[in-house]
Amino acid sequence: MHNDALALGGRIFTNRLFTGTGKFGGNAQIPKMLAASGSQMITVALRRVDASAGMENILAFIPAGVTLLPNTSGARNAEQAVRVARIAREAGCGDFIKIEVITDMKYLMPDNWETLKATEVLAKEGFVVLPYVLPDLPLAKRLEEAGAAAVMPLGSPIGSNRGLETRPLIEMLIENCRIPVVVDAGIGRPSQAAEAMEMGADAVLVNTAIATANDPEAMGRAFDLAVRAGRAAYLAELAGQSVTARASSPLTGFLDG
Amino acid sequence: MATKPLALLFGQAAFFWENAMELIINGVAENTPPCTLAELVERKGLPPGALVIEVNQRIIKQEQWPAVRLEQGDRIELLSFVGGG
Repeated sequence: MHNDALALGGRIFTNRLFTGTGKFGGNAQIPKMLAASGSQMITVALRRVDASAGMENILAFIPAGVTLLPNTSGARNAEQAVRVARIAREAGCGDFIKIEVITDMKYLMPDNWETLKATEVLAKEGFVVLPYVLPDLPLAKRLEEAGAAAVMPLGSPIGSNRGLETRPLIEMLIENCRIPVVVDAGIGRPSQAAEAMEMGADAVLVNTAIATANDPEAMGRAFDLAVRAGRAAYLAELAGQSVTARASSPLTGFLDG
Repeated sequence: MATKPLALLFGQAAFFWENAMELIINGVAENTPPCTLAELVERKGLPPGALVIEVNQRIIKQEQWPAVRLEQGDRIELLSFVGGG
C-alpha cells in the first residue's frame, strides 16, 4: 500500500490516521498510542503557562519522525490564529498548522470566514495550512484557491463522538476538491473512521475517541485497522446498493425437477 | 543604633521602588526589579525547555533570553505546548 501514500506539505504519509494529544490521562500514553496506531501526524495546542502547576514538555513525548500539527485553538479570529501559527513555527514546530477559529463555545463550531482569512495569510507565508471547517463546498473551493494544503471538515461537534452527521456535505467536498479532505472531529469509533475512508476521505483526525478510551493504546491500534480497512475498501470500489435483493447463489434449482 | 538598619532598609526599598518596573506577564501586571528575560524565567522557576516566550508580540528564542533586558511596560507571554486536538 506504499504507493497509496498521502502527500501533504511536501511530506509522505503512509498512515492516514492523524491523532491528537488532548485529553489523555497522562502524557506517557501518547508515545504508546503513536506506536500502536502508526499515526504519523499529531496535533498539539499552545497555552499560557500556569506557573503554579507542574509543567511537562508535551513535545518530549512525541517521537521524532511524527509530524507536529500545532493548532490555533483559543483563537477567536483570523488575526489571533495567524499569531498562534507564527509562534508555533518560531518555536520549532515546523510549517504545519491546523487553523481552528472558534467563537461558539456551545457546539465549538468553527468560524469558516475567519478561517478562510487566516488561511489566505498563512499560505502566503509558506505554512502548510490545514483548516478545520464546517463542510461547505464553496468555502472549500475558496480555501483551495487560497493555498490550503487540505481541508478538514467536521463529522460532528468536537468530542461528541457522534460520527459522520455531516456525511452528505463531506461527500460533496470529496467529490469536488483537488486538495485532500481530512475528516476531523466527531469520529467516535473505528467503524465511523472506516466509513469516512470508504467514502473517499484522504485521512481522518481522531483525538477524543482514542484519548478517552479505557485503553488508548489498544484503541489507537483499532483505529489504524479501521482506517486501513476503509481505505482499502474505497480503492477496491464498493459494490452498488439496491432496494430489492440480488441473489448471491444461482436460483435456477435442480430440486424442483 | 536601631535607626541605622532601618535607614538601610528604607534605602533598599527606595532603591527597589526607584528601579522597579511594571511588566505585563500573561496579561497580569507585575512589579519586578530590573532583570533580563532569563532571570525572569529563573525567578519564576519555569523549566526553560518547555517554554515559548513572546515579548511585545515578538518571539524571543531561548539563546537570546540572557541578552534581553526587560523594560517598563513590556508585555510578556510565557507559553508552552499542551495537549490539544
